[in-house]
Amino acid sequence: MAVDVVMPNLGFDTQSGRLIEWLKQPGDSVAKGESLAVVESDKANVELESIAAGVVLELLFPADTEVNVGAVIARIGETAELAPTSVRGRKTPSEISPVARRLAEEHHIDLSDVTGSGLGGRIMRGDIEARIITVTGSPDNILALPKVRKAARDAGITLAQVGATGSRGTITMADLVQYQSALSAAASPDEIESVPYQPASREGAREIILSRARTVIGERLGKSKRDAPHFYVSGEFSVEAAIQALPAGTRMNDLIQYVSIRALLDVPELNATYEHDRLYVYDHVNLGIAVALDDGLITPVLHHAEHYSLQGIASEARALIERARGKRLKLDDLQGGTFTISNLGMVKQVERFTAVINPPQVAILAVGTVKQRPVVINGGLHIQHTVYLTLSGDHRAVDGMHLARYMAAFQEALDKFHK
Amino acid sequence: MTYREAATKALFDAMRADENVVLFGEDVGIAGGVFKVTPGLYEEFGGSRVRDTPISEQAFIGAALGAAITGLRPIAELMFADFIPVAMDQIVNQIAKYRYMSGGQFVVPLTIRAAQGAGAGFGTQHSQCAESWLMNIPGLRIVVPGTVADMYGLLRSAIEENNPVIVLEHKVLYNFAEDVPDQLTHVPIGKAIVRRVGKDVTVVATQLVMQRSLEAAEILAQEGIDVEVIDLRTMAPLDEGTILTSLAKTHRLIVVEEAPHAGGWGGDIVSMAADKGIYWLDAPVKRVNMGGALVAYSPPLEDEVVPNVKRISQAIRDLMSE
Amino acid sequence: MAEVTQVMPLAMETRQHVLKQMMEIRAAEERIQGLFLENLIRGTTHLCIGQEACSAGVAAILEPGDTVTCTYRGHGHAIAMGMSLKAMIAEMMGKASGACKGKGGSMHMTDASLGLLGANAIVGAQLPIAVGAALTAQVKKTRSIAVTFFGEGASNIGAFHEALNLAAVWKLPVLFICENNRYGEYSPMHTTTPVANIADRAASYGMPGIIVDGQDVETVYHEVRAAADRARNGEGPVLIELKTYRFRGHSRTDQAPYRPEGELEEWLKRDPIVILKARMIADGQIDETEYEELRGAIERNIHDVVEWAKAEPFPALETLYQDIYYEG
Repeated sequence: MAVDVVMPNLGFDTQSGRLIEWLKQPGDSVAKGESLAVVESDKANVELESIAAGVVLELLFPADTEVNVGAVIARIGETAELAPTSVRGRKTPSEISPVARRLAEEHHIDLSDVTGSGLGGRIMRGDIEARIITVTGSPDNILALPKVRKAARDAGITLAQVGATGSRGTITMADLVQYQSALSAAASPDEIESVPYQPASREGAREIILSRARTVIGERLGKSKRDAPHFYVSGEFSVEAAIQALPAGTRMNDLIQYVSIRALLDVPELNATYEHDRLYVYDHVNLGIAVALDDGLITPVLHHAEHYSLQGIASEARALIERARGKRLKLDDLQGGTFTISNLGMVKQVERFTAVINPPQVAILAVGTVKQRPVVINGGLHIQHTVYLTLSGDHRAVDGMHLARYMAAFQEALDKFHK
Repeated sequence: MTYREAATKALFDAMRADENVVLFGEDVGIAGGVFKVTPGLYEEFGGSRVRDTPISEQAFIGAALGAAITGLRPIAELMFADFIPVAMDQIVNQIAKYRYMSGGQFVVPLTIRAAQGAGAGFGTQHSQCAESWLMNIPGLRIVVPGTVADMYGLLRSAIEENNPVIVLEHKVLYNFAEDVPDQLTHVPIGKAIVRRVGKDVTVVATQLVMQRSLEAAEILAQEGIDVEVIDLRTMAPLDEGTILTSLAKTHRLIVVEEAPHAGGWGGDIVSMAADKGIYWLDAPVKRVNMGGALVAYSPPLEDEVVPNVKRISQAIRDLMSE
Repeated sequence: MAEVTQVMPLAMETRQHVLKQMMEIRAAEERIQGLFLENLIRGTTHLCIGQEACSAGVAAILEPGDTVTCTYRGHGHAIAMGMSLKAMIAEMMGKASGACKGKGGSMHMTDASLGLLGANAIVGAQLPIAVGAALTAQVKKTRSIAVTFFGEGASNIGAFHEALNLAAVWKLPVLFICENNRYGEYSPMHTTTPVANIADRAASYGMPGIIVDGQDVETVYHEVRAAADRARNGEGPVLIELKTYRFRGHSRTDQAPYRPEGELEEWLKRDPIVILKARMIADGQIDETEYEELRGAIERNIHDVVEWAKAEPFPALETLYQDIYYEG
C-alpha cells in the first residue's frame, strides 16, 4: 500500500517551496525518518524526512522545482509496487558500478536478470555490454566455402536449395555437384516444382521416399517426353569383325561409343540442342554417357569426345563413370552435353529399347545387347555378333532422314574402323 | 657455425669490403656488444669506424641518417628491438621518408640491427618483436633471418642495399648452430623460402617459431600429416608468390607469429589468402600467436605465450580436421 | 636597443650579396603569404620575416661540401643557400618541377646539390641528422662542417640534448644555431624554458655557447665564421644563439595575439635589412635609388617566378609510387 509524501509547509504563510534535490531515487529503500530530499524554506534548506519505511516507488517532481505546499511529491511502498518506467531491479552502488548503471539505463537493460562478474556479484561494465545486442539483421545461416559459393553463382544455383552434408553444416562442393547432377544441362531451378509428400495409404504398399535426385530426374524426363515429339529409328549392326579387331584394353562398349561419335560428325544436325525455340548445332561432341546409380540415372559428359582415339575413349569414359559412381564428379562433368548414349547391353535379355531424350539435346542413342544372331549376307545364312541401336529424335528439330542418315553413317564408320 | 658467428662474420666481411661502412651503437666497440656479436671489429677497424655511443637512441639513429645521406654506409645497432620506439621519430618520420620527401634526391644506404624476441627471460620490455610496428611504414626494408646462413646472407645484403634496412636478429637464435657451406653467400631481400616441402598444409613463419614449426612438422609427419613450412625471411617487402604457390597446392594455411594478434603481420598473410588465394582454400585460415598477452617474466609463462612446438602442432592438427 | 657600433664591416661584395639575399627572402616570404591567402599553397607554412639576417649571415660563411639542416621555417635558409626560387615556389605549389618534385612541400625544402639536406617538420629531428653529416666529415677527414638551425623551442626536446651530447663527446664539426625568436609556436619562451638564454645550455654539454644579435647580419657572419673555423680545425661543436624576432605569426593562420603590446613595434625598429642598408648608405656603397631599383627588380622577379609556377603542371599520378625506395 503506497504512502504519499507531500510538500511540507516550512514557514508561516508560505504557499510553495522549492524542491532542491532528491536524496533517494525510485527503487531505493528508505527507512522511516531517513532523509528523502532537500527542500528550501523561506529561511534555509531543510532535509525532508521520510514518514514511512519502504521503497521509493516514484518521484513526481524533478529537482530544483517550485512545488505547492501539500502537493504529493513522492510515493513510498513495497518493492512490488515499483512503477514500470523506472529501471527495474535497480541496485545500490555496491551492487553495480556507476559505468554499468549508466550503460544499463541508456540501453534499457533489465538489471534483475544480469549476473554480476565483479567482487561479491557486483555488476560490472562488461556484464552490461554483453547484453547489448548490436548486430542487426538475421544471418542466413548458409555456410559454404568461397569456392563453393562461386561455383554456385557461376552455375546460377541458389545455395539455399542445396542440401548440406559437410561438418558444421556446410554445403560442400560434392553437395553442389550432387544438386547440379539432378538438374543437369539447362533446366532452370524455377522449373523444378517440389513434389508434395503423400503419406503411404495403400495396404501392402511400402513407400520408398524418392531422393531429390530421382524427383528431379522424374520432372525433367517427364517434361522431355511431353514437350519433345519423340520418334525412333532402329537398326541392326554386325560387330563380328570389330570384335576381332578390338585393341587391347578396349571393349565393345568403347567401340560403339567411338563409332557413334564418328557417325555424329557426319550428321551434325543430331549433335545439337533445342532451347526456347532455337536450335544450336555444335562443332564438337560433348558426349553424355548414361550411368545408373542407386538413386537414379546420371549422365556425366565427356567433353570434346571427338578428339579421342578409341583407347582414349576407353580410358576417359571409364574414368568418368568411376567418378560418377564414386560421387566425385565436378560441375563441368555434368554440363554441356550435346548427344547421349544409353547402353543396357550388359543385360543379355535386352534386345533393344527406346530411350528418352535428355533435354535440351535433340537425340539419344539406345544400345542393346551384343550377341550372336542369324545374319543373311548375299543370300547365305551366317552367325554373327550383332547389336541393335535405336535412335530417338526430337521431331521439332530433326526429321526421319536425319535419323536414317545417322544409321548409314554409323555403318560407314564401323566399316572404316576395320580398315 | 652459430647464428651469432654468422652475424659477426657478415660485419667483418662488409667492413673489409667497403671502407665507407661504419658501425656504432651502445657498447658495440670496446665491449664487443652485449650479445657478443661485435668483438674484434673495434680492434681491426679502429675507433673512427667503430664507435661506442652514449645512451642516445634518437641521436645516433638520426646520425645514421645524416651519415648515410652524406656518403657513409652506416650500421647502427639498437641493443634491443624494444628500443625502436625510443628512436621512432627518426626511423618513421625521417629515415623511411627522407628519400620520398626530397623527391628522390637522396639515397639512404643505412642498416639498423636490433636483437628481438622472447625466450631468454628478459621480461616484456626487452623481448618484443618489432616487425609489425614497422611494416606499416613504406620506405623501410625489414629482414628477419631465421637460420645461420640467412643471418650472414641477409645482413650482407642489408648493408649493401641502398635503402634503409632493419635487420631484426632473434636473440634466442644467437646460440643456434647449423652446418653451413664453406662459402657463405648473400641472400636476396624480399624472397621467402620453402624450408620443408609438404602437401597437406602450408605454415608461414619466421625465426624462432619457424624453427619450431619445422620440429612440429617432423612430429606430424609421424601422424601422416605432411606439412609445408615457408620461412618468410623478409617482412618488407613480403613475398606473395611463394605463399600463394604453396596455398594452391595444399589448400590450407596457418600463420605462426611471435607477436600479439591485433595488428600483427599475420593479418597481411591472411588477407593475401582471402584475396588472391580465396578459391584455393579448403578451410579457414588460422593464426597461432601470442593472442592478447604480453611476454611475462616467469619461465613457464614465457614458454607458453610464444608459440611452442606443442601449440603449433595442435593448431595444425585442428586445421586438418576442419 | 642600441646599434652595435663595433662590428667589423664586411667587404662590399659580401654586403651586396647578403643584402640582396635578405631582400629576396623578405620579398619571397611576403609573396608566399599572399599565395596562401589565394589558396595556391596548401597546408601550413612558416615565415621568417624579420629573421633574414640569420639565414643570410650563416649561409655566407658556408663552403662547398658543408651541409645544412633546418626547421620548417626554412624558406630563408633555402634562398640564402642558393636554391632556385622557381624550384622553391613550384615545390610549395606542389608542382612537378618543384625542388622535391612536389613530394615535400613547404616544410621539407631540400637541395642535396647545395648541401641543403632538408627542412624538417618534426621539431628537433634535424639536429641528429646534422650530427650524422658531421660524422661523415670526421670519418672521411674532410674540412666540411654541418650546420643545423632550430628554434629555441627545440632546445627543450630530447633530440636536442642527445644531439649536443653526442656531438660534444665525439667532437664533431657541427654548428648548432638557435634562432631564438622568443616564441615556441604560441608560447613565449619564459613559460617553457627555465633558462634565460639557450646558449646557457652549452655548458651542460661541454661546448662553447655564444649569444649573437641575430638582426645584425655582419655580426652573425663574423661570429658564425669564427665558430666554423674552430669546428673545421677539429675543435668540436659550438652552440650559437641568434637573438631574433619574427614579424609575423608562427604560421600562416596565426595572428599572434599572444604578443605583448608594443613588443612587435620595438623589434620592427631592428629590421635587419634596414640596419645593413643604413650602413651601406653611410659607407657610400648604395643609395636610395639603387636600393629601390634593386627592390623593384627582386619583386618583379618573384612575380615572374610565381606566374611561371602557377602554369607549371602537377606531378603525374604514377609518381605517387616513385622514390619510396631506390631501385638500383
